[in-house]
Formats: sequence, C-alpha cells, structure tokens
Amino acid sequence: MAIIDFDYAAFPGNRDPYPIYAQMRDTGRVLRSSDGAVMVTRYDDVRNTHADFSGFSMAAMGGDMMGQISRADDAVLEELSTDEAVGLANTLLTIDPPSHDTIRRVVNRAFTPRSIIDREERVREIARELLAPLAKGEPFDIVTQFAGPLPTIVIAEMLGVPPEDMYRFVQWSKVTGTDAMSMSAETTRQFRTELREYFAAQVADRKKNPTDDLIGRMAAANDEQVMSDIEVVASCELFLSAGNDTTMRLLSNMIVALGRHPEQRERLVDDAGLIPNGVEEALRYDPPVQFLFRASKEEAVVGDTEIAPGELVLTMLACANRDADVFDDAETFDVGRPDIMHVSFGHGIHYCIGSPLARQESRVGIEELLDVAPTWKVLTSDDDIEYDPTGLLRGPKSFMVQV
Amino acid sequence: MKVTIDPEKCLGTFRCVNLAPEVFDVDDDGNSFVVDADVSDELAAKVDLAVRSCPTGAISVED
Repeated sequence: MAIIDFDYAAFPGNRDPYPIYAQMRDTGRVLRSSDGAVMVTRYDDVRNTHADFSGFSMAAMGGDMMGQISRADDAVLEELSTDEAVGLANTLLTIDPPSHDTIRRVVNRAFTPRSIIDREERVREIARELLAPLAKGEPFDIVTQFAGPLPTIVIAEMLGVPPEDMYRFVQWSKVTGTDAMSMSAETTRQFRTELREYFAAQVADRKKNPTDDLIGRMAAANDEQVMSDIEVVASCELFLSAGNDTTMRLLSNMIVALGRHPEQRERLVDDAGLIPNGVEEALRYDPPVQFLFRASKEEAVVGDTEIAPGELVLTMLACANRDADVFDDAETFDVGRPDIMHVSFGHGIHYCIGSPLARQESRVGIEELLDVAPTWKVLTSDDDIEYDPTGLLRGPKSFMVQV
Repeated sequence: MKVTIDPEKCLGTFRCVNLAPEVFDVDDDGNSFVVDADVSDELAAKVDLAVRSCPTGAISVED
C-alpha cells in the first residue's frame, strides 16, 4: 500500500485540496495516509466500500460497545446524567444492521420527505428574511448571515422549538458543529448539557401530549419502544450535528463556486429549472463532507486489496467525485452536467437521511439568492477565504458579497 | 418495462422521486412506491438513472 503525504486529522491544505486528491487517484486505488489511515480513492471502490456494510463497519469504530451500556444495563444508565447518557447512546451513525435497520425505520417514519415538502414555503420565507440586508445593498456575509442560520432555524422549527425558545436553542445548536472549536470547554459543556436536557424534557412531554412536529413524530414513531428515550434524544441531537454545519457548507461552497464562475451563475439565473442540477453539481464539485470513516472487519476487501481487520478506512468522497473514469471534464464546474451521481451523501444503508432536506434548503436558498441578487460582486478575494483547519469538513468561514 | 421497489431495501431517500416523479412517489411513512409499474420507453432513461442512483439498490427493472 503506497503512503501519501496527507494528514487527514489536521489537513492544512483546505484552501484547495483537489490537487492532492488528483495525486491520490494517480497513485493508487488504496493508499495509506501519513497519519496511518487506509484511504479509498476511486469512485467505484468508494461505492462498493459503502455498500459492503458487514466488511466496513460503523459499529466497529467503537459506537456499539458504548451503545450496549445504554441499552442493556439500566442500572448503569440511571447513574449517569442526561448529558452523559446521551453522549453514550446509539444513533444511526454508530451501529450496523440489524439494529441500524430498526432505528432507521423509526427515524424514517418521523423525518419523512412529505414533512419536508410541506414546509417548503416556510423555508423560502426564512431565506428571504435572512437575505434582506443583501437586498438593501449592504455588504453581506453569505456564511454567517445566510448559509449558517438557514438550516439551523429550519430544523429548529421542524423539531417544534417554539419562538420563545428559539434564541437559546440556536445558541445551543452551535455546540453540535465546528463553532464549538472556538468555544471555551466550560461553555461547550454548559450548552451541550442544556440542549440535551431540553430535548429530554420535550421528548417526555410529547409522549403525554402528542404533536405533529419532528420531536413529536419521533416520540410517536417509537411507540413500540424499540429505542430508549435517551436514544431518541441522541437522534434529535444528530439532526443538528449532522445537518446544520454540512448544509451551511454545501450552500457556501456552491455560492463560492458561482462567484468564481459567473457564466454558470448566469445559466441558473436564465433558467431556474436548472438549479436542482446545479445543486447536484455543487455537491459533486466541492462537497461539505470530504471523506467518511469505516472500520474494517475480517472480510474487508477493496478491489483486489485485502484490508486487515481493525483498520480505520477513509472513503475519499471529494476525491471520488472527480474520478475521470466516471465524470467527463471532472475538474470543471458545470451546472448543466448530465447524470450527476456523486457520493457526497454516501452510499448504501448509511446514505444521508437528511439529504431531501439539504437538497431542498440548497435549492430554495439559491433560488431566493439569485432572485434578490442575480449578479452579486464578491468582496472576499480567493486569497482571503479562510477554511477551518480540518480535512473532514470543508467550507469558508466567511464569504462577503454585495449587490 | 416493469419497475418494482423492494420495501425491505428502500430507505426513503426520495432520490427516485426527484429523478422520475412520473414513476415514483413516497407514502406518508417515507417509503417509496411505484406509481405506474409499466414504464413507457420515453421514461426509460430517467428510470435507469434512478436505478443507478438508489443508494441501496432497491429498484429493479424487467423488460
């Protein structure tokens, strides 16, 4: 296995990681990173790795072992605070079949495409309100004033957070994302505890007083108690941690790409029907989640390479999305590209459960942005865009534009 | 051409409905179903893309 100079845990090259991804694809299908992980670089191999959920496990990364405490031993659980118990609870991200299928079914019954479609006009209203300063001609930060707050407010309303709790809920939401990196340990702990206790109280309340919001539907979908209440709380938190930062980066990266390619932006302005395809191309071209993690088990194989059990395996999504065997002119941003089957939401049974919402928020967000400002000027030069010092999640910290 | 969805495999990701709304829809519980199993040739390309895009391979097609 060839070794490549890439440190997945602290990758500093986030301003433009794509040259090193090209080097990875040229070097081999399966590589070892300089900090010791196995990396899968090609499109077909990434899809096959995700499809093989018994060879490449989520649970084997440690989640299941912790989850067994929360499910099997009530006595242990009772000794823990809500905060500690939620931290140990199983979620869809920490388990394999068959328990994954059971929980996914419950969450699916609550977080349905229909419940997302029905709220589209509200998403549009929120986007429009957030864009008001841009419409007035003020310098506008796409990331902190638009792409960040949009998914945070949308999911909070879906969950059923009432307006009087919205401010503190949005504050708490920050601990589930990269904002936590700039918070003190004490604030992080306080916000996380308050968020988890709030969810726990809401779940308990919904069991007595059913509601048609997402927390209420989660409580109702779990009527057969296949999940513990703590696991329901952990799943509610996962809506925030898996959805907010990622959607923020999807929208931000798409707007950065449109800023750099005004001719592509013009195509979307001329034909709004092309926007859904433009969102898919943005997902392919510069995805918020650059790679995903699995742990190999005894039978793990990629192509003709056997991978020893217990390896940390990274599926290099952003790298696979530019595989020239699959995508013509893969390095080109083309909103009219046909048949865009990127792997940015993963593949197989762990495929992003929030993808219908992420797609809707991005499409509606771009529709509203282009309506308010069909041509904006970019105030943040390429050299001034700052990215977080992590290879995993990619998106600008700030991106200033003006009508 | 005849289209079926395996309900055991379907995750309700909505991708097939996005790609071929003439053929697929989703019920209130989030599971996809086939609206019209007999697919015309004009829709074959869309259905093919839906088959290839389905993350769990839940859609099958017979000629």
